[in-house]
Amino acid sequence: MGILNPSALPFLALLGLLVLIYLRERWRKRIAVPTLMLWVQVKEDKLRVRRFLPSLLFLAQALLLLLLIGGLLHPYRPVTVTETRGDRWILVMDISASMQAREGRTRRFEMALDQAEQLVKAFGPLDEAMLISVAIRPQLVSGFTTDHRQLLHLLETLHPLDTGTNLSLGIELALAQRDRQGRQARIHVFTDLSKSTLGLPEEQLKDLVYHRVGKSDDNLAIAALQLYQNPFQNYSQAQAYVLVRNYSYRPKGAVLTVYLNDKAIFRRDFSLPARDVASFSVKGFDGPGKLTARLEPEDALAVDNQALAWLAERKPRRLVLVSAVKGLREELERVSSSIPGLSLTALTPETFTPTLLNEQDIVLFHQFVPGTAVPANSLYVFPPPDNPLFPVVAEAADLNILDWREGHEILQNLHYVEALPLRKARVMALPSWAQVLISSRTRGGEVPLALTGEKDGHRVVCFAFDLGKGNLTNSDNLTLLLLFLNTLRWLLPHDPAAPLLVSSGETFFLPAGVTPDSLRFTPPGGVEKAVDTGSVEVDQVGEYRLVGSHYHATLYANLFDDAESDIGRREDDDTKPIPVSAARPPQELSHTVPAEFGRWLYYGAALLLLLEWLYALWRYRRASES
Amino acid sequence: MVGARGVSIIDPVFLKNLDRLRVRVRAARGHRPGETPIPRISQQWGIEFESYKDYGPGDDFRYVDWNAVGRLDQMLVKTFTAEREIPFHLFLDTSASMGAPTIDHKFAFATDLVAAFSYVVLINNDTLRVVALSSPEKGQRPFLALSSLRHRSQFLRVPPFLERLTAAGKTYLRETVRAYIEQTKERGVAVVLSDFLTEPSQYEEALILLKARGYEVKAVHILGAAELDPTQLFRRGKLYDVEDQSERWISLTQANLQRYRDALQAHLDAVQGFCHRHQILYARVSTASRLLAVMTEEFPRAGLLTLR
Repeated sequence: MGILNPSALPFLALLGLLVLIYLRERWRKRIAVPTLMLWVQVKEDKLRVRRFLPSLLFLAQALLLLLLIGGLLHPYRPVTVTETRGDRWILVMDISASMQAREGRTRRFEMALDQAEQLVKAFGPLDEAMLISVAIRPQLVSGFTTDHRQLLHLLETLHPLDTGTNLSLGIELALAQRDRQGRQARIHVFTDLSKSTLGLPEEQLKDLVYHRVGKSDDNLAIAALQLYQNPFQNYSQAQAYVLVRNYSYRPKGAVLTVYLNDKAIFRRDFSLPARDVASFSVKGFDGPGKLTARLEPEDALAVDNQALAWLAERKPRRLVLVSAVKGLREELERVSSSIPGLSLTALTPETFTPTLLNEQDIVLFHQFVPGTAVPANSLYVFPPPDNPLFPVVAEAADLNILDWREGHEILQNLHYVEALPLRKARVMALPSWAQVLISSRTRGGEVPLALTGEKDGHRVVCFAFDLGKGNLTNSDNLTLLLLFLNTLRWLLPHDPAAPLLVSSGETFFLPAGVTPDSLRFTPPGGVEKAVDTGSVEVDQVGEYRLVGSHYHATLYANLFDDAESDIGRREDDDTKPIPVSAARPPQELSHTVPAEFGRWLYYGAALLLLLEWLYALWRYRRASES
Repeated sequence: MVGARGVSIIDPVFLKNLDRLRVRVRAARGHRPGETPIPRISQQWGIEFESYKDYGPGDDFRYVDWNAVGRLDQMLVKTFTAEREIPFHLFLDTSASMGAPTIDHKFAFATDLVAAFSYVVLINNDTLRVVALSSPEKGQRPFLALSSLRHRSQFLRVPPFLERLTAAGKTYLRETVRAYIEQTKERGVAVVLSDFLTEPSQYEEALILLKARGYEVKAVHILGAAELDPTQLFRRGKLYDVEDQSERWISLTQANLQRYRDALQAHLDAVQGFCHRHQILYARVSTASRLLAVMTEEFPRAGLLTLR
């Protein structure tokens, strides 16, 4: 026996209070007698308090209190319950791109599906099963259910996606679900990956029933399509590289064709040795547009035989300088004149108004921060104290650069970040929307020297240090020039007409301010669908179109995934088909559950009250009659 | 007037039961003619014929029985049993002890008894004085007395007088009785209703004083039901004396209960023994009894009342 609500235990102190009340009443109450003459012979009590002998009323009240407190405690007694249950199963289905690989006349996915269906059909009538599909992320398709027909239907609705896989995450999800409600479940995994690639501990793997399918290695894939064209270059200056890899263990020949707007501009017949790679360069494009690389003939895995890219047309860009320093303007004029397609507009803080800007501009605020939001991407250099955007707390001199964000686009190709010339810098508190790009450190903590972030839907960069007179064009400060140019490049707004390149498996989030209402998207070769959330799951390679009343975008999704393309599998224990065993008869399981009986104590209290009332009524009537 | 048990003292049904009763008197008599026959005393007029006697000097010539003279040729005079008006004095103890314990309603029972007694006295055309013996403390009067009542029609003055009384103060039977008899010349029957829960000297001297002044004394000892059985009152607790406010912690164990009963019995025996020794009629009633039963059964059995 136990209690479920120990927090009611302090109420037992009320019993002590009841005793105290009775003792007080006893002490306070005097019984009037006509004379004590007759009581002189009677021994007087010496220990008055200790000789507390409970009366019937006290016992009744104490019992009533105990019953009520007992009810509050939610007492229970353990009861053994016998239940008839079947087994529990968890099916983990790999639906990544490699499951599309052809094996003779069928595909790996259908092979796995066939095994899973056989397993489900062999379930006992009371067996419960859960279905988890795994591609780039796991998804719970069905919770534990005994509806095996529904489970088969859900299996039929699964299809492999053009994405990578994160099977270990799916298995961890299954392991987490396995021991819920104190019942064990057997986990069956259907995949083409071998156990050794999962990276899970051995003790977890040994509990899995692993159904591995597929062995074909017949795959030649476009491993990369890289287009080299910076924003200030026109299409004619662009150069494309197509990387083709032979994942087969024997030599393979194929034809690579590159199309520009569906017009073949490059064709190469080639042969690759086993597990070898070849790179093809394509240049001299005669116009902008969609660039498609395609391998023929088809092999076991078709999804990696095609890749997309976008060849952009150069558009004139404007750099708006807002500065009171004449020397900086002259330097930027020299820089902009050397960059094709970039023009400079110089303004002073007094003549600047946000209405002079458009979305495609880059604004450089030098020692000035406007009081209102700026409708363009902007670079702030050496912001003044008491500005509304970057809280300046102090000034520092002769700082050394100690840390920077490796891999950020702004720091690309900068090999000597620490060589930036810093004489004086503002010490700023980091705004919540910004991240540190370059930083130093003083006794007071980290000092951000360059910040990046996004505010009001526009990119923002801030340099806490000044560019310095003549520094930009000085050949001694090439690092500063590269940093500046990279920053301009990062701040260049995206051309809304140009498609966005994404990897299959990514989630595309709608830009801020774009609502999914009336927005529809068309997946590659698919049926148009409504966008019901703020994002679109990109799980197929090819071209996606998003069309709305105020927004439209095109996505080019490619799959460059070595793990998916390398479909060849060695013969090992995993590939042996696992026979489906006959269903076990339902088990009778006994387990203990708490049977609460607190409400009976409440009933007892009510009954006691009723008895007390009846007794009091009876006494009253008897007294009245006599 | 509604009595302690909810019985109306002036209820016609109840009073009808009292109509056939009268107080039994042995020697007391008044000077005025009345309706109470006085044994062993004869007179030449009356209702109940007693005997003849020879006519002697001083006898009223009008009372000679001429029929007897004619038959016997002898001068005979009829004698009748004397009937006198008896002066009754009902003394009611109003000390605080008569009001405790409250569950006994002892004082209310006593006032009911006084009212019933008054009715019996008045329907027999005797004179009555109701005397409330109070405590002469703090300058209060030692007693409150209702002026002499002579007729049944005056009975209605009794209940309002009794209703005004309360049980309070110490018991001063001796002092208050003395104060009364010093102011009253007419002797008669003194009925003392009390619980006699005081020092023996108090009630003994009071009764002796009445006896010595020529009263025919009758003592009615009133006991509360909870006094006889204190378990009705408490099991353990702090007892306090309503008259002197002293306290005593008592647990009513079997041994203590027996000690109490012994002490009570000794007290009762003492009061009763004293009365017997001094030819004082003694009657004991419990508040547990019904008033009608007391008046019609217990008091006649005790010799206090008799049928007319």
